[in-house]
Amino acid sequence: MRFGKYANLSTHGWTESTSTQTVSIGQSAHIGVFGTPEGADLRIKVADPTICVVHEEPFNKVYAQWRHFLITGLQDGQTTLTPIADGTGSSSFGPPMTVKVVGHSAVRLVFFPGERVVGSGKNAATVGAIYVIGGHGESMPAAGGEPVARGDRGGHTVEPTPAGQYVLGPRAHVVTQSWPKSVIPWGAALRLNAHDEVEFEASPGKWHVATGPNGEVTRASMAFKHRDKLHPKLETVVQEVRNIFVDPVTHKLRKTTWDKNDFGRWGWNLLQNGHMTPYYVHTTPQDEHATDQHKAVLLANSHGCIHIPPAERDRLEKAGYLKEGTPFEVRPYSEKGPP
Amino acid sequence: MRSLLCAFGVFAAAALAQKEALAQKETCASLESEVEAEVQLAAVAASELGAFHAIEDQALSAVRTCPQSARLWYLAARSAEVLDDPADSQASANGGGLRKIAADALAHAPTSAPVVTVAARVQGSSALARKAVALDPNYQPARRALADLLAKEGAFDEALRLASPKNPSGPMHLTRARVLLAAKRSAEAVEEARRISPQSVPDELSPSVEIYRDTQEVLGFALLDLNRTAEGKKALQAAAAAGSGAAQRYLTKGLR
Repeated sequence: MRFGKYANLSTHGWTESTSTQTVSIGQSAHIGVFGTPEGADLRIKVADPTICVVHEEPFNKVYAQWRHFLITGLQDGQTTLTPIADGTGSSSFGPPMTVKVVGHSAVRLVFFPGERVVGSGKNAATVGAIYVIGGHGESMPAAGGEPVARGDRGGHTVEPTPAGQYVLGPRAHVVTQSWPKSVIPWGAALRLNAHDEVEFEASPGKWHVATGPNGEVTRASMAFKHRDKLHPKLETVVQEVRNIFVDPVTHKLRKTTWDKNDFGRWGWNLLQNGHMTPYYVHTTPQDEHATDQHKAVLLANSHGCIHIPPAERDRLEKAGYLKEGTPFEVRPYSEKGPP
Repeated sequence: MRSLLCAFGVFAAAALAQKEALAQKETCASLESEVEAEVQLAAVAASELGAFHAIEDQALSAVRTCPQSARLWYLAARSAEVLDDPADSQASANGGGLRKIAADALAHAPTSAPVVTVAARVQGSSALARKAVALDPNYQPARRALADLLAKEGAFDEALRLASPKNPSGPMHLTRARVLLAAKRSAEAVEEARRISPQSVPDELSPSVEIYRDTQEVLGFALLDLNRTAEGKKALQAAAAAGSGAAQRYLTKGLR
């Protein structure tokens, strides 16, 4: 039994004579294992798992003698991989190979959305983790879209987060007209204007009207209902929207800052080929409030975005991983990490 | 002189009590409107269950100040019911758990058809469901709750009369489909479930996913009964992903 390349596995960085694979930090290389004994349960033991990690890729029936693995470089250094019989932990099936990890730390994030189901019944969620490649082995729990697609209110769909290669966009208070609560940025100041309508500070010094017949939240709410083929009277929606902001008994604002944006405090768009996609990495208002009150955060599936816990967001952002320009890969729901 | 002072004292005390009552009324109106604002936000929230947690928290807090408000009791009990999952003790631990919240709501608002309906479902009591229907014969959730509970007791004819096809709302089609499935009339259950429009509007405070989830669940089990296994499993996978505990149990453990 031996390590080697077969079919179309790239030979880039591979030295056959010394069985050595060179790989850059944060990058991956494919390797085959030839001639596994029949019925054997093979796994690859990494002598120093801080240097690289290995996981098995799907088997190719055409090359029945080969097993396929993916090596991902974590940090600068050298280690060996040994094929061993799983369960014994020690029986070596063949000679080791060497992995040399080189280069500068180029951090990337890899999200496995379908690792496990937590909770049950209505409170069940399919969750996974975001792994930091090129860091110090960090990871954080995260929840993508529900695993089975369906329609939802307001013309929205619930869908699995699409697997693929993305890059994080800039950190932003996410705003969108398609979700009425998210017309207003998280943390925006609120006030009553001279006409007794509610205004929000969309950007420093720029106030937009939220309520009333032409208010932005009113318009977004009407559009949301129209997409559901509902046609409420404008005055009904105007009243409902006003009630969100203003206490009808005291005629005062319920709150002076907005903390109900569906995307939480901060979001990062998943850019693809330099273009924005509908998908963000973000928190939820419920999780923000639970964190503020030191309560447990229960991640829920999204419409396709990636939900993360606020405290983990702060930790990974502080460490410099969650930032504009970081490569971000979403793996299929059928796979489990770490990569 | 003493009697004059005494009369003044009585008058002052009465005025103070009246002022306090008025302040209490205003406070309760204010609290009710605040919880109603959460209900309005839930209808357009990306995370509906998150919004229901907010409704439950606020309603439970508000009923402590305003225990006479039937609407607040309904919102507290109904949001707890929406969030409750029998297998998850964390789900409605807030306020002592669903059964306690429903019992408290019933004790404080025994003539509210919505409150009695929630209590009937939580306690599995057809007698309470009958009371809810008697309190308001036009309140459709009470009729549906009674139909569901009668079906569980095997009284299928009466259940089907209550879940009348003359009332063609999505929730009523769903109830009828459930009764037909329980009566082992699976082909009719499939037909009924397929009448439910994706745009069906709930007839009580509910997350939008509820009708979809329960429709897929009924459809899945009815199709399995008809030996249409592949179609049935597909529907159950959709139901499970949307939070159906019954579908999850069937798919993971084969239990029904």
